[in-house]
Amino acid sequence: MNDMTFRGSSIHIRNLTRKFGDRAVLQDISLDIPPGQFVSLIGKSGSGKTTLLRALAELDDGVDGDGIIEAPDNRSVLFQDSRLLPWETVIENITIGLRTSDSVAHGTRALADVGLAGRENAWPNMLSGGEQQRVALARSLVREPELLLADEPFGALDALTRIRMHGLLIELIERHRPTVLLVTHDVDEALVLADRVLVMSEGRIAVDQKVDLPRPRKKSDQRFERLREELLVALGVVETA
Amino acid sequence: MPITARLRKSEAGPRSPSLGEVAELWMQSPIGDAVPQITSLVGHYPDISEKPAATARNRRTRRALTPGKLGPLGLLFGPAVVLAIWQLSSSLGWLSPRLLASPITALEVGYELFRSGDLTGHLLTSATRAYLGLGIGVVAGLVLALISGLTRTGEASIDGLVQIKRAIPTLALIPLAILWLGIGEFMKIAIIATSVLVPVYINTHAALRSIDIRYVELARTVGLSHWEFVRRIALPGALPGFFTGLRLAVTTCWTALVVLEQINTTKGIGYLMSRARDYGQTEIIVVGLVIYAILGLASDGIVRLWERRSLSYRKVIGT
Repeated sequence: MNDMTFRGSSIHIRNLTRKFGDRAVLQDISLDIPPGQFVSLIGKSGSGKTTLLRALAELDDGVDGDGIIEAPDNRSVLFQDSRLLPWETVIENITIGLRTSDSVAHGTRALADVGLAGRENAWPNMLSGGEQQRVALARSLVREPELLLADEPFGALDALTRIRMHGLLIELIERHRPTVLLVTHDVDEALVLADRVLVMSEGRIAVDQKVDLPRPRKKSDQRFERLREELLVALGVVETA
Repeated sequence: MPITARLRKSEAGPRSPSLGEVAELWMQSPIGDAVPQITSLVGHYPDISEKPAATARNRRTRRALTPGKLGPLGLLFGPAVVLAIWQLSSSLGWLSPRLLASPITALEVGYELFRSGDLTGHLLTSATRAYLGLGIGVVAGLVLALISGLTRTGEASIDGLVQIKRAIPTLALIPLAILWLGIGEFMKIAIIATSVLVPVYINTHAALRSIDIRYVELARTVGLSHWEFVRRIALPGALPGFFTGLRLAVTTCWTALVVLEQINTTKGIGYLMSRARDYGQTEIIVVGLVIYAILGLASDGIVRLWERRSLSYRKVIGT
């Protein structure tokens, strides 16, 4: 936490629509995210949250749609699977696409940051699922992104590993301060991590909820429980608050 | 979590889980998240490490789904049995030497041929033809597969032609090849190269085409250039396919050679064998067959070794 400069950039979305055939997956979405804000995007499956993230990542060519997105080019994506190249070592995976001469030194530091110092020359297949996802996190952060897009990055991990990953993510985000958009289906995860939670429903942003709880957040905190209740109602999981 | 579920079930009953059950639970669970639960089990139940027999038995039944590892000599069992039956039939006179010479006779003749230096000359000539053709064919197949797999123009111009070539038996090309290229070494090597090209092309091309779209997405998000994508994702991704093609190719090159060495030549293993056929020398035919078998197996072994080294990042059953 020695470096508190805000690296994040703001994001502006205006009248964004995306269609798969006749089905409108995103319906006229407008959204502003200030620099350095951590936004969680939750919603039922099919609500359009991943489509919105992929639009921001520019991974949706061939998809019909309209609208304006103003987002930094310097962004990285954290996928649900670690998406490491099995034929490259850990350090090669982290530094892929970096063109500076000191990329290996940066990569080594990023690897130490995620608690895997010394595993530079391991093959991804030799690592556990949680370790692979930590390498993927190092690969994202070594680029010093202004925008980090994460698509259910902890969805495939077991509960214990997930808690550890949350702590690690918060620590690294506080150090690098990128703007973050995290897609998740886990309300608790959204509330533990984010400054702001958006609930998507049928291609629209149905709820825009600020989360100004002090960190580290406790799930037993009354305000935490109240927010969770509200979000679960918004998701249609619980009948009344 | 299977552990807690099974634990509760057995707690409800009067008996503790058997040692076998505990060992099984332990082996089912990934070590990482099982450790805290195991320590709590140890408190309730006898320590399983005191009874190595139970653990060992369980481990054996777990493994039975995939075959155990075969020793380096294990693969020789089948051939050894055939060899023994063959020699026995010859020695007992059931098998006439006019139809098939006995393994021992063939061995003696082979040794004689080798000592006189005759065999070495034939072998060198054959090997030169086969491996020159192989080298040229593999490079050509690889280059064509890359052009065709990575560019649309390449696929449009090359793929159809190779598929047509694939449908035509190599041997059917020999008459034309003789008219165009003559009956010398050049024609022989060209025929071997074109027949080797096909399996290398087909397998490499198929592997290139089936590269996971997820890696393409990754390449875009980390901003790889076209050339970096080819070098770091397309080529390594296609490597397993290339090796499959290469393993087919090393045997194909010898297959093509046998036929080619019956055309205008006085050197080579194929020539040696066709002359032996004219004189009814089955022992020399057997020598030739054995040499082909050894060369085929050795080439395949070398390719497999190379493959295992290049693809060492993979954990695959059977390697």
